[in-house]
Amino acid sequence: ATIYKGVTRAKRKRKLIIDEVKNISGEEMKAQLADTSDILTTLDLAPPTKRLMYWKETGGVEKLFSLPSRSIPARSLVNNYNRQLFSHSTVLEDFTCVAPIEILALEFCAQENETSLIIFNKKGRKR
Amino acid sequence: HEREITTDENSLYYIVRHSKNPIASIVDQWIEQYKANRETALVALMQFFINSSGCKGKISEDIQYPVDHTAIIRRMTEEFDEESGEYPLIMTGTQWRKFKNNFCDFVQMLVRQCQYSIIYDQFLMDNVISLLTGLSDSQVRAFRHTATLAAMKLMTALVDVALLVSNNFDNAAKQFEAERVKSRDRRASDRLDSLMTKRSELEENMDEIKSMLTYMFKSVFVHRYRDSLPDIRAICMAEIGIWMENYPQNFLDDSYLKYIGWTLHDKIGEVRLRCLQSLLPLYEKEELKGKLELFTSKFKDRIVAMTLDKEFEVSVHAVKLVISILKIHPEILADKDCEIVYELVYSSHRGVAQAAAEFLNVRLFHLTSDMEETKTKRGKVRLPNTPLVRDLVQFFIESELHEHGAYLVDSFIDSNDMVKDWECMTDLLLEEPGPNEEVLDNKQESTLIEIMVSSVKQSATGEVPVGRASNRKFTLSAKELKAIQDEKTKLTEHFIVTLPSLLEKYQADSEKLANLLAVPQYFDLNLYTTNRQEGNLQSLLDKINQVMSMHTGREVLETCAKTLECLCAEGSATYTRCNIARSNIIESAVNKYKDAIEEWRNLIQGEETPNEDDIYNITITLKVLSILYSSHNLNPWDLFKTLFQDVEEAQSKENVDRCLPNEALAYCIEACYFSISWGLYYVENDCETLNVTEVVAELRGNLDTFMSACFELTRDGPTVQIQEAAYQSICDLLIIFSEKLSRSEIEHIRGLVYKSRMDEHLILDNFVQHYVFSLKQDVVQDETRIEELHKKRNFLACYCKLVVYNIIPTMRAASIFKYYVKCYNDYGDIIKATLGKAREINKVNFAMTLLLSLITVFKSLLEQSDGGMVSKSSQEFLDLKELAKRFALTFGFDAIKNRESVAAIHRGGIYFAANKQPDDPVRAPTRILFLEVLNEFNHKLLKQDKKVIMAFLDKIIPPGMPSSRAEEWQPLVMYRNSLLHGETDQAPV
Repeated sequence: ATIYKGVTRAKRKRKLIIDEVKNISGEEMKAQLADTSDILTTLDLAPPTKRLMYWKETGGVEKLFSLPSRSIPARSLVNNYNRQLFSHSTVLEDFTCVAPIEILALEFCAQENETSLIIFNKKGRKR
Repeated sequence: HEREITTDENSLYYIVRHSKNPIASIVDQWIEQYKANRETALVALMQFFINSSGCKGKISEDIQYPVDHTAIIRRMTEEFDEESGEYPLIMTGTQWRKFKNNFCDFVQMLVRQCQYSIIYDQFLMDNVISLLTGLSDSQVRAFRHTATLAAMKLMTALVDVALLVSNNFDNAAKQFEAERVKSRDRRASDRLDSLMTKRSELEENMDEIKSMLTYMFKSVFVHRYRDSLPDIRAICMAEIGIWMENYPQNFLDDSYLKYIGWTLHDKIGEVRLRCLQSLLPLYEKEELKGKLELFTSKFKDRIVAMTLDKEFEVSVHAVKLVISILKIHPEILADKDCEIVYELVYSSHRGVAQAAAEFLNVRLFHLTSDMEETKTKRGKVRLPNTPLVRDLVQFFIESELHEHGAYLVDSFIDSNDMVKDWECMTDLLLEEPGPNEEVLDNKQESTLIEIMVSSVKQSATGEVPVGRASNRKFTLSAKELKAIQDEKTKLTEHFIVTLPSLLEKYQADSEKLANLLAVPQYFDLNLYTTNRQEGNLQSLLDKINQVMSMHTGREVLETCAKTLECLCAEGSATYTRCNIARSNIIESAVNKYKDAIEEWRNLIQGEETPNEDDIYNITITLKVLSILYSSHNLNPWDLFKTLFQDVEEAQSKENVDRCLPNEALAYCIEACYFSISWGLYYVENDCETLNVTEVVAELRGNLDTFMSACFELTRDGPTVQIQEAAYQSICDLLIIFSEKLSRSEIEHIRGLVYKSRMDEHLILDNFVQHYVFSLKQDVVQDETRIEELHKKRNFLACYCKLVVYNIIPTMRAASIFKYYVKCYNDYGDIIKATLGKAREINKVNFAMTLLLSLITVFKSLLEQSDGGMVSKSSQEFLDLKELAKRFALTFGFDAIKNRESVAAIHRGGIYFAANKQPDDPVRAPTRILFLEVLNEFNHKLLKQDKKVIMAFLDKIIPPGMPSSRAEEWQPLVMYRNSLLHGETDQAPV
């Protein structure tokens, strides 16, 4: 990849900002006084029921990937599940259903040993 | 990076930007220079404004006087050649922010230090104002923006001067009057003269300052307040607010206020926010009340409407302003205005909700002196908050927006202690009403309990309800933790005593119970022993026992089980007593199940048909059992065999009519799942080494038989409910017993890994294909629809997790990836996360899975098509190309990293496209259209790899096949051409 390091990015040349129109026109002023619907919204209601609140709490992809499918209320059991939640790199799978390995030119990949590198979660902040 | 506008170290710009001296001393130095030679000092100052705009142009030292500012600006505009459109005011970073502050300070300090003489010299101010006015009218944004800021700050400084002069004038006038009315003989005539001179001098100065202000207002403000650049408008709104606040005699007037009023309608949130921030302090001052009345009534509707502004910050400030209006001009607010604000306590945004609560505090929920004290039937005086709590309950019921109290409580919890007045609340629930009191009806009681328990939860944990936490920091300070602990102690002490009575009173009402029973989960349990409250603990345990044997509602039972788990926390002072109670509760549940199942089996054996009671009985006992199992280890009661017997029977399908009712069977599956989970926990934590081999062997057996039954039930279960229960059990157990157990230090544990087979993966895949992607439910009701979607998302995520956590091969995700675009709205986030993780795990597997996914879709298009040809213009084919495009995007822009992967996609794709040759050798292969799909990955190939792929392509599908059917060959021509000429992401080597 080092060969690419020499490639320099052309400097962006931006000109002085000239505003042909300096002011909001009288028409625009009138229009914005007459109609504010685009800067208003409706009440953004918090989840109105316990169930909806629960889903909001658990329904995001991050939670779905870190919680079991059936909730485990027992605190002692939660660790059984949580400790298994990490990923590691794997070896080449058998894709002969697509094409023979020499057609895919992947022979050398198949010879690679399982390195089994653990992939750490780039965990976002919990809510 | 530093951007040098001038290297002249003596320039004011350079000094203001780099000097560490205080601004005041920089101004002093300049004044010295001015006193020595006002022309050169003026040029230096003008140069400062030019440089501060980012312009490197230089004003010549020998300009003509009077100065032709227009000419100077013209020349500076010509010399304004910049490599970037940026200028100091809009540059980011602390150093530029600091410069901006220094710039403003400099302008204001200049006026302040010149205020006694120089500003009246008819030279400095005339020239500065003239230059700034000219610049503020420039089309060059940098000039206009910078000069407007300078001009507005200049006005603010002049307003301070005007105020001072005006005060001095008033004093001088007073002194003059006092002197004048003195009798002739007592008055010193020269003193009267000098007072008169002083007075008229001040009057002249006043007029001069006022005329500067008026001039600048008319020539700068009136144009710039509607500048096309929002930042400039924001500056105008911020400064006019300061003038009004500092010098209300002159500026707090409807002829000025109208500019703020109009700008409340600005399209940019930041500008609207400045307007509100300028108005707020004006409303704080009682003495300005009268001057704001007309403005308030004129713009009230707009201000109230802004409580629903698109920008949360703006709505928060709008609510605050409405509170101010409520305080000083309550008559201007109509009931319907208030109602708009009321509803905001249920907003998902915490700031808005808390501001709305504050509004309610001012309008409704505060103590007043005229509140009458009432007494309960037995003569206990009601606490002061009682009427407020009653009103809150009524408010909650009447607003009809929320069915639960968490968000309402959160809105008030920091501003009104009524929501934590436990005694007041429990008195309302427990004490019989006195002669002058209204009885709470059933709805009011439930609502009060809901509010009370929500508040208990938040008070004891400090946790804000989901979605409301965005503006809060993530860790609590020591002080906050202490406050929470104190609150917890307080509520524990109160509810230890009152809870048993509450449970007694509402023992038949499951809704109220479900709430009340959760309260001990938030207790500081040690207080039971330190406060010698064992008697009340026993009453609580007895109540739980009683509720568990009487009630059948899921929520009540789950809450009981969970609370019991909390009470049985190992190491807590309550453990022994609670553990005994728990054993009794479990014992009785187990016995009931055993009786019920025995009866059931006897009935079946006797070929009798179970009646409704029998069905109800077995279902409920299993429900209680499975719920208890989810929180407590029931394995000592040895239930797996009997529970699994029914699961196995259902799976074998030998006696379909003899099976347990569906719901009961689902509980059996759940209970077996928990039994196995507890089994693993036991082996790891409690099992004696002597028995471990035996215990592990039994667990291994249970796991295998249960898994095999569940796969069978997932594939072909009697009902959806059973299939779902089996599917979920499998997915969770596959993770719990995954390969990773083989890393355990305990040898026996290593042997418990469950290795799944391909046929099993297919069963799971089919389930997902069917339930997540095919099954369509026509549900109209909103909440049911959402529930359905959540369920499906959970099922999908279960499967994806198996890929992400290395339990099934990546290629098994091909059947999921194909829905990436089609189901983006419902599942896009889940599929996207899976794509990302799969790529991290193994790039090549990932790429081949994408290809497999595309091939699968293409094959199914072929199958559906007429005459075995996919139509190039069909929507389905266009969708497939779109899918390929999105897949290609997942590779990112580093073509080198993905070299082999992308090449393999092309090779495999070409191989697939060439694979079906019709009998007629002149005709194109039937799948040749697939090359158009592959083409979407073209720009991911490196240039040198394109050549290799081209050679490979020409070998597999030889080009130049002359044919009468040229159109058929079009995809090949197109694909070849783009390999030859197409763009590549990475710059070619």
